[in-house]
This record gives sequence, C-alpha cells and structure tokens, in this order.
Amino acid sequence: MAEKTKNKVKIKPLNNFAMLIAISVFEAVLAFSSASASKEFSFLMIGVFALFIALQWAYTAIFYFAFHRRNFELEFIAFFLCSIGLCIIGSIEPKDALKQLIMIIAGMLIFITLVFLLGDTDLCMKLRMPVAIVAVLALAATLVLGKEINGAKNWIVLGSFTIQPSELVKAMFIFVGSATLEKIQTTKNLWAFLGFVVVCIGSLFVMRDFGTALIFFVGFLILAFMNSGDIRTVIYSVGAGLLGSALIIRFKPYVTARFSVYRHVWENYNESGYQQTRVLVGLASGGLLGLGIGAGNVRYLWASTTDLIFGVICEEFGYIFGILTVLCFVGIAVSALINSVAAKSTFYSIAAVAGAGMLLFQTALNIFGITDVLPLTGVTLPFISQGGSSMMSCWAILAFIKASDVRTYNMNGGAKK
Amino acid sequence: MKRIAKRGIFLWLICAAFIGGLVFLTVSLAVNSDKWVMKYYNTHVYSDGELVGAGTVYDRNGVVLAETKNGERQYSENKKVRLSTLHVIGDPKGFISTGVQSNYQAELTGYKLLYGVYNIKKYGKGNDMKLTIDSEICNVAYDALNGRKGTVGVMNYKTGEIICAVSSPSYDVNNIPSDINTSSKYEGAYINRLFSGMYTPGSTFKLVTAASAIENIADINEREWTCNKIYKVPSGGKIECNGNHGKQNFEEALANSCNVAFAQIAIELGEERLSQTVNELGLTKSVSIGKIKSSVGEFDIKDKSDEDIGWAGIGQFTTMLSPIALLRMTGAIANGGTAVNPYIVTSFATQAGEALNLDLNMQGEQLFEKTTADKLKSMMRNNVKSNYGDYNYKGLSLCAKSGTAQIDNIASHDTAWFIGFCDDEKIPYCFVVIIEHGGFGSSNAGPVANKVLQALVD
Repeated sequence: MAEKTKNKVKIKPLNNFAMLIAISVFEAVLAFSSASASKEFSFLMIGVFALFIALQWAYTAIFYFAFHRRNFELEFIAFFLCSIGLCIIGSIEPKDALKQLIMIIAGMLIFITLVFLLGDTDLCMKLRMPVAIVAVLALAATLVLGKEINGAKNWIVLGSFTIQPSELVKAMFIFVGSATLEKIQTTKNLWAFLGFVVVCIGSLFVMRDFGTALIFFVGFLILAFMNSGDIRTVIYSVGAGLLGSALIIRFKPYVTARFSVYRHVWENYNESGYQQTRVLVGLASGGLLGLGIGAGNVRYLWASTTDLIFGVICEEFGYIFGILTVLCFVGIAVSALINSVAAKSTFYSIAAVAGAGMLLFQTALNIFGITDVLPLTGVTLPFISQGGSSMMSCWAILAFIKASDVRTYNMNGGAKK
Repeated sequence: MKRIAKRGIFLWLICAAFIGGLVFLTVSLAVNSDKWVMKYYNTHVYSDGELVGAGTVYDRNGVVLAETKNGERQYSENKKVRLSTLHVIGDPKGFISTGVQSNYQAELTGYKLLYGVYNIKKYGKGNDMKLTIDSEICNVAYDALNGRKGTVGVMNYKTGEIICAVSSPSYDVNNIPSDINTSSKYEGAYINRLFSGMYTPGSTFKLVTAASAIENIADINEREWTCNKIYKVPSGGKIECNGNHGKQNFEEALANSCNVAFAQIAIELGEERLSQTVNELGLTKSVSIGKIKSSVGEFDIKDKSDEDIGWAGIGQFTTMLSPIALLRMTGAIANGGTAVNPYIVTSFATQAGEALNLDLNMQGEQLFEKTTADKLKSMMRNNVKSNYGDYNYKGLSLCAKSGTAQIDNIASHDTAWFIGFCDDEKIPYCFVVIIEHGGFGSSNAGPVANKVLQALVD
C-alpha cells in the first residue's frame, strides 16, 4: 500500500479563473464572428453569448467560493464545446441559439443536481429501481406515442416541444447499470440488469434508432467489463451483438441502404452518399485553417447544425480546430479513467468510465459516420449539436464523471492536502 | 481499486481506436483533398458546372482568353478567338479532356490543403495563368483551315513553347450548337487533334525511315534506286509508287517521296532496326505537354512480311501517330538532334501577385545524332528547293516534308500532311499541319503552314 500512495495520481490544479478568462475571450470572438455572419449584425447573438459567459462566471464563482470546489476542468471543456455549437447555430439562425442556450442552462441544472445527488451513494442505491422503472416507462411511452421523424420513431411531441426520451434514458442506463453492478456478485442482480439492457436496446431497435442502440451496447460492454473484469463476458456480448446486427441488416432495408453505401459514397454522391461527400468536400475546401465563420457551404445542408456540425466546424474553423475539438472527448475519457482509479467507490468508477465511453463512442459514430470512416448512423455530436434532449443527456453523463473525481466531494477541493 | 484500473482497458481501447480513426481521416484528407475539392458540386469552385474558382487565362501577349467575372466563367469577347483557342482552354463542362482548365484545375484555383479555398473566397477567383500560345496566330491558323477538319501546331524548337495549337472542328462555347453530338460537321469537336488525334503518317514517316537508314546503313549516301512505279517485293507482294522516278540517290528519293526507294530501304533495315528507331524517336510514347498527356502512337511490324514492312516504311500499314510526337521529332531535327519538352503553360500568379513555381522540365532529350539531324535537315531543305518551291515560302528558309496518307481507296479521303521548320535563328519554329480528307499534302497543307508562318514572321 505504501507504494500505491507514492504513485498516487497527482492532479495539479489549473488556475481556474485564468482558464475561465481564456474561455471567455474565445467566446467573445465567437460571439462577434457569429453575429457578423448573417447579413445584418445580430445583437441577439451578442446577448446570448454575454448571458452564457455570465453564467459560466456565476457557476464557477459560486462553486469555488461557496462550495470550495477547485476542479472545473470538465465544465470548462463542456463550456468550450457548447460555445462552438452556439456560434454555428446562431450564425445560421440567432433565435435557435437562444433556444440552445436555454437547453444548455437546463443541462447545467441537471448536472448540478446530479452531482449533489451522486454525493449520497446510499440514496443512489435506493433510487436505482425507481430510475430503471422510469427508463423503461419512458421507452415504452416512446414506442406507443412516438412520432417518426427522419426515419426513426424516437420522438415524443408535447405541444411545441419535441423530446427524444432515448437520449434521457442514456444517463438513467448508466446510473442503473453502475448502481446495480457496484456490489453485486449475485446472479439475481446480474440477470435483472441484463433484462433491463435487453429492454432498452430492444426498444431502440424497434424505434429504428440504430445509432443510439449501438451507443447503449458499447455502454453495456464497458459496464459488464468494469464489473466482472472477465474478457469472456465481453466476447460473448460482442458475439451476440454482431449476430443481432447481422439479422438487423438482413431484415431492415433502411439499415441495409446505409451500410451498402459505406466506402462507396463517391459513386452515390447524389443519393445515399450525399451528406458524406458534401462533408468531405467541405473538409477539403476549408483546409487546415478554415474559411471563417459563415463562409462555408456545409452549413447550407440539411441537418448541418445537428448530424453534420463537425463538417461545418472543419470547413469554417479549420480541420486542425475540428480535430482539437473532438480530442476534448478523449480528454474527458482519459480524465474519467484516471479518476476511476482513485474514486471513493466503484460505483463512481464504473459510472464515469461508462459515461465517458458512451460520449466518446457517440462522437466517433458522428464524426466518422459523416466522413465515411464508419457507416453513417445519424447520431449527434455531444455538447455541440443542436437539440435539447441530447444536450441535457450530455450534461447528465458529465455529472457521473465529475462525481468520480475525488476533489468534487472534498470540501477543500483537493487544493489543500 | 487496481482491479478497476485494469478494467478500464476497454475505454483505453476505444480512445486508441478513436485516435486511429482521426489518423485515418487525416491521411485520407491529405491524400485526396485536391480531388475532393474539385468535385463539380463544390460550389466554392464550380457554379452551374463551370470552374468559377479559376483565375484569368492569358495568351503570351496578355490577351484574356477566359476569366471569372461576377461569379461566372467568361471566355474571350472575340468569337474567332473563342473558336481557335477552345481546345487549348477547354470547355466549361470539361468535355475537352486536354484543356488547360481541366488539367491545371488545382493550380488555377490556387487550392492548397493548408488554407483551403480561402483565396477564392477572398478574391472571387483563383490564380491567373499565362499560356505560350498566341491567339492571333491561332486565328490565322483557324482561318487557313477554312472549316476543314484537322490541326495546326507550331512550336518553338529552341524552347518548347507551343505558339499555336488549333484543332478543327471547333465550336463556340457561348453558343453551343444544338446538333453538336449528332451532326457529322462536329465529329470529334471535343478532341484536341494536335494532342489526342491519331493519324496515319503517310510520307512524313519517310523521315523516320531515312533517319534509321542514316544511322544503320553506312553507304546510304552512295546508294541509288530505280523506280518504275511498281516495286515487286522478292518475298511476295508489291509496293506502288506515286510516280515513275527512274534513277535517284538518297536525297532525290526523299524529295520525290519515292515509295519504291523507301520501301526497299525499310525492308533492308528490317523489323528490328526500324522499330528501334521509331521507339527511340519517342513516337510510340505519350508526349507530355506539361501536365497534359498526348495520345500514344502505334507502330507494330513484328513478324510481318517484307511487303508489310515496306508499306510501314512509307508510313502506311497499321501505323498511327500522334501529331505532337511528330512535331517534337521535327523540332529535334531543327535543333541539332535534341528534342525540347513542349509546354503550353508559362506561369501562374496568385491574385496577390505572387508567382508560383511550375517546375518546368527544360531538360531536352537527344533523339538524333547531330550528324543525322543535320543530314535530315539538308534533305528537308532540298525538298522545299527542288519540289515544294522556295518561292512559295518566301523568307522562311523552310525545311519540310509533305505527306498524303491513304486511309481508304478514295483519293479525296487522303489525309494531307505538311511538317517542317524554319532553319533560321530568328524564327525558330517547327510546325505540323494536318487536314483530314485534305487531298495532296504539299499543295493543300503546305499553304496553310505558309500562312501561319508568314503571320509569325510579321
């Protein structure tokens, strides 16, 4: 044990406010670029960014001074990613940026609440059954009331709001999975969880939300492996998954069409390869340094602020910036992995690694799907793409990673030892 | 806790795979970006299928041949210039594959992976391009062809600059004829005949046979041949001549363009030596005009009868050559045996006025021995003096060889050829003129060459 203490991971606290100033300056530049992108200078965009920057300062100040937290790296990464999304969405339609900001605020509130809730592990253990039930009910409701939008029946329309319950279930899935698998080595628990997994992934298949189903599957693999450490579990699961996918490809013409164009997008540039080819042309046109905000062509494509937003980033901010942006998700994953070693409880470790894994995998499906490195599955880019359900789900997942950081629940914030 | 650390390996693997994916994407982008950016649906570069991202194309005297104005590609205001330079510039839709606009897309748009199409966005167009051609000379050549199908090529044999590259039939890009794909009038209108055409060389090939003879038959200058209109090949078959030339030496035989004499020379040289000369002269290779590649000539007499070799030696049989390859060879005769590399694009300049390095390969290739080239030159000079008439080509010090290539049994279908050069330091030009269904070579293609060269002298 002595040796372990010596090797204990030391995380040197960054100067939080210096970081925040840097982010604010970057966001101010984005605000002006975004506001100038349309024909008339958009004061709304300046307002949206001003409010967002103020919120970031308020959040950091409150938790720094009132709660003595010293670890804000994860939030800063999320702020950075959200601001890129806001900038692009607002440069196309400023009103949408305002909506997006409201969703970011909602996401941050969920994040704050969850971080507090996760501090009480006993409460979490008690909550796992009710959460599982809510998750299953949400999926069931989607199956019954769901409306088909763009080929996937995973939307519920409530008045002027459309929500995607499957996004919110993502966070519940991690919660239930980690809480169930934490202590258990009982077969009963394992079977119960497997049942839950089958229900979740099964419903997503029925909804034809293939991308999200895959993300759940990867989340499950991480959860299973984090729990048992048994490579056989993973091999069985992958085997089952591949068999299942083969059946789906065989029987669902919609999925087959998407897979058949994979690595053949240039031959189908005006049909099934339309989006991918335009994104790749955008990447090439933007070059390494980009054309400037508003100067690209990918922005005029359908779904440019959701599925294709990585293409807009690369074309307008430059490929180098695009790569640095998605490397943020690798950063989140690495921090979750480092945290998981020192976390107070295995519940935190499992949840953090599974959450970070799902975020990173979703990022991979998104950016590699639209660039034809992987088949196109139509998932969003976490924290950046337009959409409220996705935004809230991302912040919720981030809470798991935040909770795994020992500094979060240490009143001295890890600054003083 | 150590257990947990190890179990995180699954996420470590995803991280590694993710970075692997980024590397793959980056490499694909680095390798393919210039191809991707030139997709015609990239509206940064194309508008309505036209390369609006290209800069201005100038001829050697600064005349604008094509430019982008207000987001539209516009060609010369002068209709004749549009017609005579069409095949060099290329059409807006890219049907003419040898046009500079399609072969130099990347340079014309100034695309670089580092800053993408930023300069096109900034200036509204890409890099400007200067050509070696002279649009006025092209107009003269186009007029001289007078609607007949064929081509006129003129090159500076010292430098390789192509001064004139006209191909007929042409069409007006501002007013594309509706029957362009159906009317026989426009047959091959999308082909630049100088670079991509393939023709039976006829008697112009006698220069090749003569070159082979000079290098392989020691006493060729002392030999004599008797022409009685028909030569009976000892191993069977016969070669017919265009005249009854009687007794002639080597020089006279070329001036008479005597089939009987040259068929005998070819048969004596044989399959191996004649083929070797054809290959050494670069006639069976593609000629590079900068980034543009010419068609590849065909010459095959392997395991053929003496009669076939005899016909091949006078430029008939199955031989098909590219006009630019023959022009390059003619230039080498004029230039003491060294063929310069033909080129058509002089320079590019960015809109900021910065010049781009084109890396032109100025290194020529020795095609002939100096003595061989000089011998051929004096024989070609003799052709003009004794046969074509120096008075027809005043002030040009012309050295030439005509050809009348038969493509079927109808005389009016013959391809008229005239190739040669001015043996004058001040007008170092070589030329090729081809007229399809043009009839007799020297009397039909010759005057076209004269008009173009006289315009160059003025």
